[in-house]
Amino acid sequence: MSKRNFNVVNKPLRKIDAMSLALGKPSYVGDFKPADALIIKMLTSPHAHARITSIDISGAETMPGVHAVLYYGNVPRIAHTTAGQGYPEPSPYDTFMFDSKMRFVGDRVAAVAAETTKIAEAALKAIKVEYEVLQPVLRIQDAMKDGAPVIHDEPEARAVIPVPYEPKKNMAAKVDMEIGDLEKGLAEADETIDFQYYNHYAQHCPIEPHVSMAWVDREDRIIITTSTQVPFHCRRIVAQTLDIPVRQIRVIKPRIGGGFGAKQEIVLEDVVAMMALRTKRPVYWEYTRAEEFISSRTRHPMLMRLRLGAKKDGTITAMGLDCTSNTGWNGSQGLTVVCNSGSKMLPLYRCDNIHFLGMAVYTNLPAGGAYRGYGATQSAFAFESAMDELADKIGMDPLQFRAMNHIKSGDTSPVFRALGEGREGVDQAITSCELARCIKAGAKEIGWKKRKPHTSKKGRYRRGIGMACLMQGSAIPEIDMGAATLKMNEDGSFNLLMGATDLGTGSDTVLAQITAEQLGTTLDKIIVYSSDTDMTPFDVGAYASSTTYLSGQAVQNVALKVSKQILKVGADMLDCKASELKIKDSKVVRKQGDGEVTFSEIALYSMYSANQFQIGDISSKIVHHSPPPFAAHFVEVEVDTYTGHVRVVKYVAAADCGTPIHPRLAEGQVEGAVMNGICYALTEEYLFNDKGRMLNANFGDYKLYTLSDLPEMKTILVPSYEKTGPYGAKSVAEIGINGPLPAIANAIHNACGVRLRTGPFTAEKVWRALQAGGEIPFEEGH
Amino acid sequence: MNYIDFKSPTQLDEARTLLKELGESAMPVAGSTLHVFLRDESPKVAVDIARLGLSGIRLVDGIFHIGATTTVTALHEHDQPGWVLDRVASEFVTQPIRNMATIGGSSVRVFPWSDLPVALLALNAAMVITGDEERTLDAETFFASQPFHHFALGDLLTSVRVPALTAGQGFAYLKDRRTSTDFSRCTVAAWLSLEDGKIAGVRVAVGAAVPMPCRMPDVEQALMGARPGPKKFEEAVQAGLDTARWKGLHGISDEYARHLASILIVDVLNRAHQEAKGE
Repeated sequence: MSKRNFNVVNKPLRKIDAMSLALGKPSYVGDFKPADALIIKMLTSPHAHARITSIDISGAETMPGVHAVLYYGNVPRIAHTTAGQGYPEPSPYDTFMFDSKMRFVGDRVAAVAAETTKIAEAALKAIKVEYEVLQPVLRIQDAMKDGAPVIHDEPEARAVIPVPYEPKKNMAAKVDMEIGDLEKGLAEADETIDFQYYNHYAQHCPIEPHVSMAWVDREDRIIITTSTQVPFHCRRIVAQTLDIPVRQIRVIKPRIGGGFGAKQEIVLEDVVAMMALRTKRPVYWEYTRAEEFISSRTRHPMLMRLRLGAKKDGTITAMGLDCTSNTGWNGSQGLTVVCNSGSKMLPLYRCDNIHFLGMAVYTNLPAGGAYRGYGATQSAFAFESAMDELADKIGMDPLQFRAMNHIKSGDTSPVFRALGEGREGVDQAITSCELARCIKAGAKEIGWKKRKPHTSKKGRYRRGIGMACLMQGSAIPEIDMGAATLKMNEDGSFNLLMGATDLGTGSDTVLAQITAEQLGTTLDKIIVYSSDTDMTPFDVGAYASSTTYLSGQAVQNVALKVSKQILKVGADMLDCKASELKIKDSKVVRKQGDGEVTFSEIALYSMYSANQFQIGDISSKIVHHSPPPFAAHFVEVEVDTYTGHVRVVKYVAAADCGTPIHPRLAEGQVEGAVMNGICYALTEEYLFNDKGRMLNANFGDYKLYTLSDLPEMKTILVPSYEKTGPYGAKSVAEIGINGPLPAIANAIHNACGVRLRTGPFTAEKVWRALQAGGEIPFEEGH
Repeated sequence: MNYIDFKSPTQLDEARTLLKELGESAMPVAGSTLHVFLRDESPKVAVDIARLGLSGIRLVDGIFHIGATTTVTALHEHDQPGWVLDRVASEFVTQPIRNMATIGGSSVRVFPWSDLPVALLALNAAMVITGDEERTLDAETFFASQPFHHFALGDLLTSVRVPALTAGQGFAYLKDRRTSTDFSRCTVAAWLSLEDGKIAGVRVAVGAAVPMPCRMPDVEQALMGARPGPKKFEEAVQAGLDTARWKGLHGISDEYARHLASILIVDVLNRAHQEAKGE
């Protein structure tokens, strides 16, 4: 099919769940809470690092209305990872359902299931705990010191794939890669830079926090309904943690009120499953907002050192990136996030001499996890800030510097093979790249030509323009797998059963569009059901920007198989060969134009008339490439040089995501990600006291933009055609968050000469840098 | 808050009697928007005072009489010569909260980041308390400490009186925050009157960057009788900043809070001056 000849794909059709969501029909986990559900509440550690020396749960256990109390003394002790990743997981097994050692303020001490929230909360107060308080580790640099307190000293902590793991040194992951010779490349350069950067903590802030419920059915199976991005990984990990067979668990994912990676973690489901088993009652656990901030997952803070070298003509001769992430109290996604910091940015610019060192270290702070951007957000800040700084040194326009060096269609990069997710990557050439057009379109929209150096600007309010170039990936090649089942009904409609997980992105609609396009029918004929581990085929879930590209290929494949069956039945009915037929507008028609049967007639015939069989099939898919989406971001800011306040005046995001299957949803993904990134750049930060307690775990103090803060935004979709993707599609959901931090940093510099290498760019930080003549001493933050 | 009952009187006397009878267990409520910040878990009876006819804005002899249960939205929408509280109301959190919050509620429970007390201090508002006898306190007295200290059992704030701005006078209000829904990190307001090109009267108030909203007497003193202008304002502010105890909120340092206040106070003085000059 020509890329310009789509009927359903590339159209902004009504989202298939739009009306039910708009009407507030029961959709989310909380909407299905049984009236008799017991409420779970968790007692958490007040200390960042401690051992429980005694615990007495009797006061809680005997309290009327309390049905169960769980703690380390009455549950299985099985080391596992909470990371919802493929098996064997690249994250270390360093977590227990409950443990006697506390590793952060907010760690699990004991859980109560009670008739009401009030009773559960009262029961928590009746649990008596004594602690031996240990010295906490609250900074990356402190965690790496000789003799630092060991956070994971338990003998069970281990890596389950062959990767470096040294918990006695607080090192949760390490990867080291060199291509060419970094030192040689630096020596060949006319100019070099060597700077440190720091990315700070942030939380995903889904409107719906983590929420799960469970009950035990008459066959003694545990039915878990949960807000998760990874229902199949959830089933596997819960089975492991409870030491029960996978077959004893069913996981149902209803609609999700946002995930952004936070729900690629098993943070509630082990406890709700165990509570259901113990009490034989439905149980329900929903995080408070404070728990979501503290005990859920965060963006890994990252300390980075970036060394770049370039010749005066703009040729980049050396790129050296050292990334050390703070993975917090557990090592969830630590290795793969830091790998992505290298693999998603180093290939963006051509260079022969590359060195990458990635490490993840434990601290006694909230755990990092998967978060939109997944390591690329961190390294994009360092890289794209440094590209401006290096361009300045060699006297080139930063836009021109990027334009002459960025990867293009047909290019490859040795980084693709050298750096995968926890293991070696996969060779690939770029088969679609419209980054040059993104740069051109974005530059025109922001008015790049009017950009002046900061030295020419005067007055209190100074405006500046900055940019950043970005790439991400589309699924994890040769690791991720998606599958779909499709069956035909009497009226010519189809049930599309998928393990793919729509977490609010609209992927159910996108995948239904691909299915309808392939079948030659309309979107309303596709009945989507996702996801349910008993009913839908396996899919790794929604992460790694995989759903459209990977699960999209699975549904396209199964639709292709089913369309062949439809043609075969049509041939029986029209008494001709299938090759004489084609599908058009939900009908099988003779190419010659002298006969047709509708999909409904075909379904009825196949079910009731002759050679009966169910038209339907299943298809699974892995991918061998991870074609990057590309983007160029531009921003204009205004800096109040008296107060340091930064205002975003206009933001332009030009994105190449291949064919946008649903252009409006794709734009929404870009705009949402950009807003997410602007908040990260300017307002979001975790404040801790010197004992590791978070001080601003609420939306009153932890600030996100609302629509009333929205600056002028322009999204430009620059289509390419990715031949390995479904109808030319690549991913779009993550890349947009990577741009604001570096683009705004560059714009602030262009406005007033201040260079910030630590986020967020608070007014006080800008003011202090202005006072100091443009820079403040580098300091690891939180 | 832990409410166990709800009473809805329709007359002021009835409400005051109820409050007296219920004593410490009574909680007068109007917009209820601040209750989320109150940590008192003892059982309370909510006494709704929003139906007592205490809302509305009237101009009487150059003074705006504002009923205590007048909503912030009403302050925002009011349009009359000399009226300036719309400038404060427009910066008051979000529209849903403006629809519920009242001038009285926002005055009797003061938080460091409270908006209206700063403006009322600068405007030299009069706070009318109805008890067994009606009495009026000036804003500076009223906000000198938590205002509940001024209330006996059954007392209610019933009216706030704000002088209308006249020719030769100017008023400005600013607050610094990270987002439109954020708590203020520094709130400032200034009222200024000119005679013969000199400052004949000035009041400067600050909030959020200090423990309680307060006036800046040394700044005011340095400006009285002076010829106004940006340089003079800067000098006065620098000379008078140390009378306040600066306290950074929401992650900012005390030093930056002080700096922020110094910039914003000059800003409001400049704006008030412009208005006083008729510009």
